Amino acid sequence: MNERTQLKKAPLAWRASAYAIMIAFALLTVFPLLWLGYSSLKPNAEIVKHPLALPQAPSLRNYVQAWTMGGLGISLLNSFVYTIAATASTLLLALSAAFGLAKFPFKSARFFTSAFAVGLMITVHAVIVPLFLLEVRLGLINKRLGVVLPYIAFNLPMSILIALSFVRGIPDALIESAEIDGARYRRIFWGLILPLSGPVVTTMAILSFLQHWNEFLFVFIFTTKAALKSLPVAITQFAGRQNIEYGLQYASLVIGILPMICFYFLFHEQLKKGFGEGALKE
Amino acid sequence: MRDHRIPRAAAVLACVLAGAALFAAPAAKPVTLSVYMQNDLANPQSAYWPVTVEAFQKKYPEIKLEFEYVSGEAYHQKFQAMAASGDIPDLFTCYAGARSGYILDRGMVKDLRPYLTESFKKSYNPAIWQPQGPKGEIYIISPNMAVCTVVYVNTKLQKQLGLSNPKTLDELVAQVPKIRAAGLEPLAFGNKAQWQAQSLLLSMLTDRMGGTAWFDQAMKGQAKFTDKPFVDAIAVIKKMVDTKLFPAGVNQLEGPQAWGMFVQGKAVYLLDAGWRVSALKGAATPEDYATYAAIAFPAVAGEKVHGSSAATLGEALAMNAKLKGDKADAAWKFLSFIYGQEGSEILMKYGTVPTYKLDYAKFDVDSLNKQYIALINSQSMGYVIDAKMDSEGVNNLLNPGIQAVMMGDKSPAQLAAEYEAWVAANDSNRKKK
Amino acid sequence: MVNARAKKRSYLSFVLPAFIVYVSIMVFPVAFSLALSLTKWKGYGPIEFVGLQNFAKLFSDPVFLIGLRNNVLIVLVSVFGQIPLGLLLAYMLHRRMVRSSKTFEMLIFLPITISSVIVAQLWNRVFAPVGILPTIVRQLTGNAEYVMTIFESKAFAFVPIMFVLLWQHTSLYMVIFLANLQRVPDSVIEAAQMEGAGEGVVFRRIIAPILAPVAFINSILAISGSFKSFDLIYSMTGGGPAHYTEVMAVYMYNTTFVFQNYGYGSAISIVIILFIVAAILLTRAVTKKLNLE
Repeated sequence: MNERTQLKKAPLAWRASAYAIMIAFALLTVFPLLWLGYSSLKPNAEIVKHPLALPQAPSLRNYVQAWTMGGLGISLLNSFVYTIAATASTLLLALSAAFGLAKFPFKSARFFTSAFAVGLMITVHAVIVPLFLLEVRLGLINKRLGVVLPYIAFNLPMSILIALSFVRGIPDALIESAEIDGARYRRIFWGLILPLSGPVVTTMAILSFLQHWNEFLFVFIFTTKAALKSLPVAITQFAGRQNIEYGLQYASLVIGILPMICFYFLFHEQLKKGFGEGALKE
Repeated sequence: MRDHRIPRAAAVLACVLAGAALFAAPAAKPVTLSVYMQNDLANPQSAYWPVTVEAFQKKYPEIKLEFEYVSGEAYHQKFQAMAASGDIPDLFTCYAGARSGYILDRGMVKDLRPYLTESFKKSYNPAIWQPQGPKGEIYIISPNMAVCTVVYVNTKLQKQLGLSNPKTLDELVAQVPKIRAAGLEPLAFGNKAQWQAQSLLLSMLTDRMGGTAWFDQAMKGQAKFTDKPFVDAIAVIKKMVDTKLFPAGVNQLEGPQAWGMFVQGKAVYLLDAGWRVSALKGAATPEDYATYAAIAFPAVAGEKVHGSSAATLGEALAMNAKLKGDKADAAWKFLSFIYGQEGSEILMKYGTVPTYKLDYAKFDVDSLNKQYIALINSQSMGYVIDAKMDSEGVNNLLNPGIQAVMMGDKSPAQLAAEYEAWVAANDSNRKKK
Repeated sequence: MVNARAKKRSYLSFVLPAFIVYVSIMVFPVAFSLALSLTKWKGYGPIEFVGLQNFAKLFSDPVFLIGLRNNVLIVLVSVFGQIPLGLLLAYMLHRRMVRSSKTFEMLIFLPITISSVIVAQLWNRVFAPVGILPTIVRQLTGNAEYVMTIFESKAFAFVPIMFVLLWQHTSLYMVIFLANLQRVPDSVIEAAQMEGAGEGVVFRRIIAPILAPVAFINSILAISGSFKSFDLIYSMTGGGPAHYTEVMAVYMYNTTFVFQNYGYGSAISIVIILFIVAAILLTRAVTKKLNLE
């Protein structure tokens, strides 16, 4: 137990600077977002004429138009589908691989681990064209699987590393006693490892959710039908190079940000805990 | 034993008759066409498109259309990936010239000449029938000429300051002190995306200094980009920056921010393209809009060609070369509709001047469009550089290079030399013949 | 008891699914890119084998070199800016130097949840000549023509982007450090304070060394991300004006998709990967040396 009352408070100089820095950061974060918010309530002509002013007659017209014109309802749904499918699959595959690599005494484990680590250095743009050609051959274009598979693949290196350091920390004794009780490895995985992995699962899930929700390139390249677009892609369609409907764009940006903000406010405690568990065990 | 032969025969006859009824269908058989279009539905200039599509569906309800819209450069990037896989849609946006080289050079676009009868072609501005391919192919029916240099004038501000339309660039420069003293920008222009200075300005200036004859030679290598016309053209841009014609930070300004300035009454003149008219119409109040005028870029010292602008064929939907039979027929019906009389009338209603010859008297053409039509009919047109020259040289070297010149980091002669060096070694125009 | 072969089969059944997905989606395409980097190809037509010519050209290509310089700047601002700043912020929050630290923590973390494309749009509206910042400065200084000319300086155009990167990513490291700080028992700090150590000493001599391993992992993440950096810069400036804010990933993207120079573009992506490997190895070596002291 920590007895915080015993600690001396930090000196004034420190506390003053702390306030200064924190407030600066907080303002820097809040102001642009507030500006985006109230600007989205203005019609486009007013945005062009008076970019900084508060709206004269705030209305949700932009939101309605953006929602219907951009098919944002469907794309919101698609974002959820892609993100949840990718996250769930990655978790399962990563934990399963981590279990295999951490708890089985085979030499090939080192090879596999290093192989996965290499993936951290590969950029999506390096593989996008060959990957597209591959997906065309396999008939995966315009199928949700064609987006989810690359999501999983690119997320595996990081997820496996995090899961690995966690699973290593599970005492061998637990597993051995289960083995002695006659449990097969599949049982051990589902019945022992997964339940114990609560904290790291949360971290990985949240990281994965964060990464995939905001992802753009794969959905853009691998789908052509509007019914399959995710939110970022649908939003970007409002931004033409030669002309921009600011009002609609801002409204759609706000629609794009809100889910993540809600997500963050709901889960930030688990996020913090998860980072701690996963990272320290190195 | 019942005799089953007669009921069976009747059944067979019924099937045959039913089948015949089914297959002796009315002339219209349902066809679905996939369309990949470079379009931004949120852009006011695209307001005509849903109307056109609806009109087409009313006339041909049996032809189903599936659209995918992508705007800006992303359109090309994704299309290249599609082309690489060999699997492209039935209809797609195509540019006449270098911009769509990646799809034209692959031979994936249908030559429309078999469909283009003399009587069909007569209804259009003859300029659009120039050969678009190496063997004289015609790939697109261009619905409008993309005129790339127009100077828009806020006549109200102009009068307030006691100014009149400048006939020469020097006259325009002379107006700068007065305009700036009043807290206004002389010539609104945004070059953040880099292509504007090349397409909207350098192309026209190069034409003024050298003409299309010189440019044709430069493409073939008989003239060089280090020649006087090109260097002088770049030098004019530098002069425009030095005399503070442009807003400060012109290379950080995005296009919409620039014409936004004009609409807000913060600039007296706007340097932009012909297609900006409908955007101005959508953003300005009707009273303000009525005070806008359109003039040619003023005369430049040493120019050989007078009053010209630069223009290229506007892009249009083209047909997949693999289309046959019913699909090809349906595709042609679509193209000839949207680029024919019905489609062109809709374009006109929404403020774009089509290449299809219409009786303008029938339309209530607004003041600015009237001036614009008169202007482009009186001008000769030069080439737009990025429609003629290879993409890498233009996008990686020329466009950023113009910015560097504008920011004082490079001299016009240096840029000309670098560009010529690249073109001589790499450009496909030089490699022809 | 499980026999050895059954054990091996189980082991493989756990590891192989992930491995197969990984290899087919990531490894084969990279191998293909590697092969492409030795060619000259337009994306269609004949493929011309040119050996290492693309790589040789890269290192005398002025645009690539500017990109490389900017990528190195990102690495520097990440490792020596975001991570120490994140540590400092985490420390301040942990030591309760401000009230309502929960609120501050939540606010500072917000930027990392927003997609980079949106972040870019936001800051463009702030920095642009018609944006908020110049408007405010104009009113304050009376200079009607103020714009952020820093964007037009070859040497310093990248600074605003580094600022935005700092704004966006510092909080990520802050959260990681904070989580780890909370596992450090207070008694450690208590003991130091009883011995008369000032705040600065506690921070430098006690806390920083404990968190060094975490800082190392963060550095690896930061370096890898720095060389791959694309979304934010592409949406903010596209590498302009005049290539001043170019980074390798943007150049690679343009080379492949806009100029259709597939061979050269693939070479750039291979070089990016090599740089990441080199930087990580270097970091490993440096930390090993420091840890042994």
